[in-house]
Amino acid sequence: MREYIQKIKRLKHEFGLVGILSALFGGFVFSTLLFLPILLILGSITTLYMHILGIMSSMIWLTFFLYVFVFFRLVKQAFLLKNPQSTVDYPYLFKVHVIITEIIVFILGVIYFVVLMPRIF
Amino acid sequence: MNELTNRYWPAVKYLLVPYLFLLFLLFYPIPYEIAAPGGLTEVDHLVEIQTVEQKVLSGSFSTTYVISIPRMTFFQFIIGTFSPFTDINKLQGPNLNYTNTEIIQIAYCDKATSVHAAIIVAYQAAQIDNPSVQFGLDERVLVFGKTAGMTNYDQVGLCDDFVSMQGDQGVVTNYLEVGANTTSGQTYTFTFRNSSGNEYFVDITKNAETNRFGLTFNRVYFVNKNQTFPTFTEVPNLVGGPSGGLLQAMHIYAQLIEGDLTKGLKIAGTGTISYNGSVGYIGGVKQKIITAYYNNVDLFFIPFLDANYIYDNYLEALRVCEEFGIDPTGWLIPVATFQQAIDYLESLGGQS
Repeated sequence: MREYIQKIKRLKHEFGLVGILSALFGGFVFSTLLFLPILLILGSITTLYMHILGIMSSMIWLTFFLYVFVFFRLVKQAFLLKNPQSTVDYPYLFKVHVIITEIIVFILGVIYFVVLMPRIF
Repeated sequence: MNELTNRYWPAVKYLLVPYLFLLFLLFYPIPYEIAAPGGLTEVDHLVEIQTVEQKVLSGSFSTTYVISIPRMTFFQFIIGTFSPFTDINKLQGPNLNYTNTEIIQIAYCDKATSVHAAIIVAYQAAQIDNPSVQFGLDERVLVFGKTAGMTNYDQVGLCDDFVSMQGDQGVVTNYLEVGANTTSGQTYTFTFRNSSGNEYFVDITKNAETNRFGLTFNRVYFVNKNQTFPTFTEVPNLVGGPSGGLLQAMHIYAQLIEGDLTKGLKIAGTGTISYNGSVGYIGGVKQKIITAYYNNVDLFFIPFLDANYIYDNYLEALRVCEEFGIDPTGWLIPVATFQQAIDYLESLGGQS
């Protein structure tokens, strides 16, 4: 935890809050541009294949995992493009953020499959 | 943000037109409706009966829903064309004039009235063996349809109660007397009650050409919860339409009687229910059979009212089974009344 905080502080020191927010926003915009049509296509197909809702939902779930991965990948790239000589430990921060967010996506997916899906559909 | 934009702009600018075209395909609605296989909804999740001892059935009753999209997108049209399970038709009839929201409102209205019809039928049947079962009725007249040309179209809510109308000879509270108490070309004040219980007034002109106001009323019965034992709770659900009536009635009946009517089976089916217990036709037979088949149900009840009618639900279901290589033996159960369905289940062996 201490190591993580130190590396985040290092990141903030190098890029400032505005720089970090700019990278996050860029990552969000470009990853969303990429995944929005994919999710819409899967959603449209799902409406016509509700009898295999479990399979279709799993594909959407997997797409969200990929979306998170690409988002952080783009954020990392934004930092590297801002300052190629940066000394921040990007692989470490990328790994931690991806793992934490993927765990959240996993939990949300489990809640959907176990609680919401049987109640709603 | 800027760094990523500079980095990816060369690729993005070439993809912009195809990207926007794809979004157009995904969002632009066309006047076609599509019916696709849906899923099963356990009636347990729709109506909860508060019996003294909460009864647990070894099997389950499920209604079968299909996906019906009134104005599909181009993309759904393309995908639907390739699926053998979907039916695509040009939007016609009253649905052409309704917005998607209004179509959904009517479907929910149908659902609500079908749940109450199911409760009435089930409670009536259960009273025979269990006199403690009681229920009271409220008669209501609901707005079930509006035509495009009617005056003050947006002010009248679908599924709202008709209360009264100021007619030529005074206040009319019986909707059947509206026609006889009004004159073509004249405007009359109607009173309606919305779902919140608030009354509102709308001036509607009786069309001189059609001699109609443009409203469709439906007389329905709702169960009065204050006079009902055991009480029940309707659970909100996204599924609309009246086709779950038969299975809802069967589930509620199973909750009220002694023994286990399900015999441990996964029971599904379709069919509307009338207050006298007769079963009515439904649409989307192909999609419902496919849905039931994919969900591995043990029994599927389906309306069978006329062996000479080519579009009878049961005969249509047999054709679907043949088309998709599904064996209907012992699985597809034709019924014309609620009592026939109950008799069939009671005739089965197994745990009870």
